[in-house]
Amino acid sequence: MKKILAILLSMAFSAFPDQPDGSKILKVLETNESLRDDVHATVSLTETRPGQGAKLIQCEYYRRDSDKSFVIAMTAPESDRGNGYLRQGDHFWMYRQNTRTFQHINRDESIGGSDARGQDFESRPLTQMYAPSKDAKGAELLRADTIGGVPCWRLEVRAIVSDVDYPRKTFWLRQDNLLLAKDQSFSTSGSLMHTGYYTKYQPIAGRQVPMRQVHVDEVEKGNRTLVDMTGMVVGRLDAKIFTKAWLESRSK
Amino acid sequence: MKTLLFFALRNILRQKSRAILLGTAMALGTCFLVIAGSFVTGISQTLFDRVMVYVAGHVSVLVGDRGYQYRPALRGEAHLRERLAQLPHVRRVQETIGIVCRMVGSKKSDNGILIGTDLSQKLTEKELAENRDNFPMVAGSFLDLARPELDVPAILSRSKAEYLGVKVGDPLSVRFQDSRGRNQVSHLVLVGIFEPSNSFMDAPLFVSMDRLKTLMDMDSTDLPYLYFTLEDPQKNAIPVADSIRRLLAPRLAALPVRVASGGSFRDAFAAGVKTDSVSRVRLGSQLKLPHEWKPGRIVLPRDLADALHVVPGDTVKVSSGFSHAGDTVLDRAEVAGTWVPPPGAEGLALWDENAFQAQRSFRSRLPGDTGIPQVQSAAKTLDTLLSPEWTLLPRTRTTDDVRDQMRKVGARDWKSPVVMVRTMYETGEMILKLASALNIITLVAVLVLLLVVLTGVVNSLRMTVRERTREIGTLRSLGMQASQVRALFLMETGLLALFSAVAGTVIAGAIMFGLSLLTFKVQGNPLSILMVRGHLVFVPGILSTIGQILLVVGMAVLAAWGPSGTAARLNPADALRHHE
Repeated sequence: MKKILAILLSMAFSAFPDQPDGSKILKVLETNESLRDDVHATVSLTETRPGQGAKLIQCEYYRRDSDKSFVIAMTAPESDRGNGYLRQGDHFWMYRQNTRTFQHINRDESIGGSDARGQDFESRPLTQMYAPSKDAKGAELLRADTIGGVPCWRLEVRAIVSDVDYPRKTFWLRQDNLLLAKDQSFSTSGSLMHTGYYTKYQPIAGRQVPMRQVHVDEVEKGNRTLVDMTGMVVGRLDAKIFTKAWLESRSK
Repeated sequence: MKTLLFFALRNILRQKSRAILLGTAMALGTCFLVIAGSFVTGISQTLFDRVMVYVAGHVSVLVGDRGYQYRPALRGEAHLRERLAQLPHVRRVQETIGIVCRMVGSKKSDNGILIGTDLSQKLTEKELAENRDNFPMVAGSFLDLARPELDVPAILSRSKAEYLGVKVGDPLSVRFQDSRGRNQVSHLVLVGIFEPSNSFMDAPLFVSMDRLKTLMDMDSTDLPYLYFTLEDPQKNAIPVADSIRRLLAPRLAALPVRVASGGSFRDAFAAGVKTDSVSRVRLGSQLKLPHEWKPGRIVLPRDLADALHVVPGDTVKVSSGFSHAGDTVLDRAEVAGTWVPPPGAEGLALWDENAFQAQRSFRSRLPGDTGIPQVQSAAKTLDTLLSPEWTLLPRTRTTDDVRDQMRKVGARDWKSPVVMVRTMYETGEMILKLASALNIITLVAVLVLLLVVLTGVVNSLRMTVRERTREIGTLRSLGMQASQVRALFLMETGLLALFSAVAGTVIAGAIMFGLSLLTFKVQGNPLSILMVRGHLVFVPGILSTIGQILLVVGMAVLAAWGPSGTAARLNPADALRHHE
């Protein structure tokens, strides 16, 4: 089945020998983002702030899209080891090891003092949020470009619903395989707020997964986060992982 | 009585040294009591009048959009403000938006709170003076926030401006989430710098309310948080909050929609219907729907479905107007079935509450929007299945209740907007507890002090009775009754205590005046919230001061009761024979 899907995906890629359609590019991005199987990976985030050096955050990430569940078990820094997050459907909790308590997290509550919020973990299909932007003549804002000498398609999109993180985005996808190479996010006023680079992909279970990402904060110059994923395993995970008891037992 | 008064005064003057020593002790006790009481009142008043009124208002109406705690907008309901402002004891209703933001200056970045200031509000001279007192400007003026030639003028505290490395005229970037949850960045121009009166006032970044509403993607029809300033807030806060809550009772929500399929469309009204497990079963069985009732589905009026040639299982487009940005607010819904609306509810479609409320939130309200009568008619049969305009949460009593409630607001169970009414008592419960704790500590300390003083009173009186035993015998022989002897001693003590307490109060006034002139350097110190620009605040009340004086006099008289009784019970003959 996975092989068939991979072939179908590669067929989709080869269906755009010249300039592809913006809506189809969005659909491909959406397909790449979605997971059909459970997944487990070790995720490392290296946050760099001007004058503060680098901070390493490490966690074990377990995800099951079939019922919108995931678990994040923190392993570094030492002060956060044993803490974690659990999402089950519409509910999201933070676990604190020192108090051994679970605290419900609001949708717009900051997670661990970071920029991430509860709502950031609510996944919605890309095509339900964005559509290709068009120029005055009604043509999609899609053109050829290069990133580091690699030919890419540059697609500008705009939000079609009101409650998205960014009202405007631009994607660069490699022309040879339609993998996302870079994206930029803009505010309503058109100010660039965020740039993401997707530098390393690895084929896992017939899918190309971005194993290394660099996220650059364009508002606070110098802030950047390097995301590395290692040890990714795709396949059915034990149901007990997505429970409070399991998360709590990890910290004992 | 006059004779007793004369004797009492004469005795006080006759024993000058003893009276002075005893009086000094009582005066000091009173002095401490008055200073401590005034200090605690001053702290409470500072916290309530200079912090709470800005942070939470005497009474506040807080709104949250569909489970998002920090999306302060009730769409299309700005008209409520005028109604609420008519309530008795409401001095002023102020729209408030306070958003956590990240400020980016030329040197550094820091967290802050982006606050909108309503420059159209007409303030009294007293309120203007209070504002000047709370936000004394180091550079620029608050009126500069209205400068039309600048996109977004802003005012910042001195310490923040120094930290960020910005001065008047410099640009300042600010990142925040707007009322839709979108990340936004705005480029401001600093037009003023103020000296915060306490550390609470360090964080705000002020911009004009109309500009902030634009940045937040809100318009004049949207209702943000409301803060009420009341007459006599301590007395009126709770009754006014209860009245506001009664006025904010929600109706059922309605939405004019256009349902389209293929190339044709029909205009209709929609009601939101809950999709929790109980509601799914109830609606499914009540309307005998061929498809399960669940999120993303719609039940169309039979005649509308026939006109559009749609059958259960088809997908229709449902639009309800335009967003502020001019986009069509459009969604797709799968037809779960059709129904025949009851009389009065003709043309009413029943739509998944989540999608229904999202469209209510996204679309710009148009004049004449209605559908309420149709939904009200349907309420007779569908009752609690229908979605309200908003959910009015119960009143809270403590800060813990408030915290729990905020958690519930942020939970994903809410599909409709949420409205809460609070008073300063819940929000400022910690402040009240702090004031109560200070009061108790002060009272205990003062009681210990007074106990020491009163022990002195008892001892002095016992000595006096002993020294004046023969005098008592003489007075009794001349016809003075035992009760009059007791009254004489009590009067003597009472008068001495009264004079001492009054003197102590005068001294306390002088000390408080002197202390309030001193300036303490408390920049960055949490204690600064107890002061006003580094000055201690004392608020001596007339009634409380009279009460404190009466307390000292009462306790002195009570302490004198025993020795006075001893004097009254003396046998005149024995007393005359007494010899030291």
